[in-house]
Amino acid sequence: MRWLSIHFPWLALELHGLPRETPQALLDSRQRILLGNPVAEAEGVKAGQALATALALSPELTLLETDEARLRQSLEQLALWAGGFSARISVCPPRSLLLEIASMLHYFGGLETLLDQLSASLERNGYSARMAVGETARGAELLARVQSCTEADPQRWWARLHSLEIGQLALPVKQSEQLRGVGLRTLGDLLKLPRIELAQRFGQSLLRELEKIVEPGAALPEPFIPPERFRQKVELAAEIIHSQGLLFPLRRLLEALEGFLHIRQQKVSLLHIALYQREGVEQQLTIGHAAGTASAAHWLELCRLQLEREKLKAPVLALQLEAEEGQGQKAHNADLFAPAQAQTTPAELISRLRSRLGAESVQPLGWCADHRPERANTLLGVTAEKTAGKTAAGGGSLLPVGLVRPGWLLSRPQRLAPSDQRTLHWLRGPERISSGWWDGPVTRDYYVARWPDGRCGWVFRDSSGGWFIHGWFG
Amino acid sequence: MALVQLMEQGQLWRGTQDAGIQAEALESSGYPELDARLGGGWLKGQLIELLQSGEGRGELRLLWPLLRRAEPERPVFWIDPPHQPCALSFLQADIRPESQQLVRTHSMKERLWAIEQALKSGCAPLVLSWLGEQVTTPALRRLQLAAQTGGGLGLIMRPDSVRSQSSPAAYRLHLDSSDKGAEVALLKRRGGWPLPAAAVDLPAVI
Repeated sequence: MRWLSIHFPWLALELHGLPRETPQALLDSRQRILLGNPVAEAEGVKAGQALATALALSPELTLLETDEARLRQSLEQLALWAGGFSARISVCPPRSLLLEIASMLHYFGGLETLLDQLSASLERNGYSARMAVGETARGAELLARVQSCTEADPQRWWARLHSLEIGQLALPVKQSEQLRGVGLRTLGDLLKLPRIELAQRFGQSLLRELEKIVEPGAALPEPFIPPERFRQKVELAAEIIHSQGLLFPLRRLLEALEGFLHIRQQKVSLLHIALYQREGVEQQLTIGHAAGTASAAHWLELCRLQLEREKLKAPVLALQLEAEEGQGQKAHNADLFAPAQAQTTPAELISRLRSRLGAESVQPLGWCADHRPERANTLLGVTAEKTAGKTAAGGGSLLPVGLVRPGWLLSRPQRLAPSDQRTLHWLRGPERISSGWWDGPVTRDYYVARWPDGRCGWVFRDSSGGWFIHGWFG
Repeated sequence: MALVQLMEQGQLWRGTQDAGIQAEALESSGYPELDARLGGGWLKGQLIELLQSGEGRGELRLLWPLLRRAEPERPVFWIDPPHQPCALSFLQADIRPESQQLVRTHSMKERLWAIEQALKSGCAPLVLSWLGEQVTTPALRRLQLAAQTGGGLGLIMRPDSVRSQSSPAAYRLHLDSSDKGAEVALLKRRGGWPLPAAAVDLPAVI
């Protein structure tokens, strides 16, 4: 097994989703700086500084607070996201993830490509991370906390691990002080000593810890088990007033959703987004995809279109993304020779159009057996779409014979001027269409007529003797 | 330098000469006499402008062969037609109504956006749309480019009052009718001069 550890040094800051260029710092309970982002550090803000000092050095400093629960929650969101890259993920609180990668290297075409894709995805989501590979899980984790390490050669990797200092081994503070007290500096020094004596002097716990670091098969980290249903919430550091501003936090959630679905080989066709707003207002958005997809990019595009139409009732404080139950995704192989143009499926196009124009704006044409032309012509709604095939298939055998219908039906019959009526050339008729007494009676005599300029229309005379145009033979 | 020399060097292009268009790049219009005038059929990935005054001249029957080729996985998009297309008349003409997707928009901006999306997607072999007189040339050029990206045909119906305006569309047709039948004039076409009106043998109304 080979492991990859991803360490998020600034996770507690970055989970707020603020732009990276602003100086930010985390405060502890004693009003001292706990952690500053690189911009803040460049301005001289350091851990342990008093608040007043930090503010004097960096007047623009944004102060943030993060509790353990939120840190844990965002780490779990990242674990879901990592599902797109590996099937075995472990969460190592407070700020690291472990991915088993040996089985994935072939799929991604080598370590370098995998790391590139991981960093690109993290960059898009606004996370900075250090990555380290390793022969042992704990070893990779400890290395990632200190430095990036993409050493593929085992010998050199072990050398890197052995050069870790005692203080970087995440041992109890008292124990590492004791070890330093006897003149040990690095992990390598420690490993040179006989194990039995180490145990006698520093206790079994040290030995167990060392075993975890250096024994490849020792204790495997516990795998992360994703929840049954996807429901994730983010609280926003700054209130969002414009609907477009929601896209950045949404992207993080959608990429987590993609990883969640990827690991289950599923897709979803309906998402619910709840926007929690100031003064307890809650706004619900529902976004649908006609065929269902797992792709974060597709969902983000649909969200963007929907949000363009949506007006926020109040500034948004938090948002929650919930996915309907997923459907099995048929794994399909990408065809090397598939025409380059078919990038979008009709279902995707229809979803995109519906997101911007409204759910009822795109509908296939349907037909039902009714002798009144207005009723026979129907549009198949969003829900009725699935039955469309049946109606049409059955329709073939029930097709009325000998009726002439125009290609265009006017939504409202138009009155025919008497002067026009005299110039018409009558081609066919009358065809009597009557009854429908149960819902709006009609009694009409229909004729096909040609206008002097060659246009052909469908006209009728109603029971009161008035003439109307009802369609055109397009 | 003699003309023959120039042609041998490939520096001269003759309009009447076959531009080497592959048969797969052409979509037959379904009417042999029209195909002959188009040079084999419609060149895919192009915008076609169909000018006429008022519906009822045979504009749908002209498209029947193309509409018949639509499948649920390759539907035809109808963007803001002026009237309701009649499903029964399609069934009688052997056209599948469920492969015809009707799109309704609320403004000209949305309409142009929807046409562009449908053309660009590459999943619709034919996109039908109706635009008035006011459409700007840049907007039409965008649609022509979208059609080239997607590789489908984009058909725009416009009133014949815009006949004198120039257009970036690859094809421009004028459809007229008389008691003898429908006539199509090619105001603009790929790889050739405009052609005067000639009769097209559309299916009869009755």
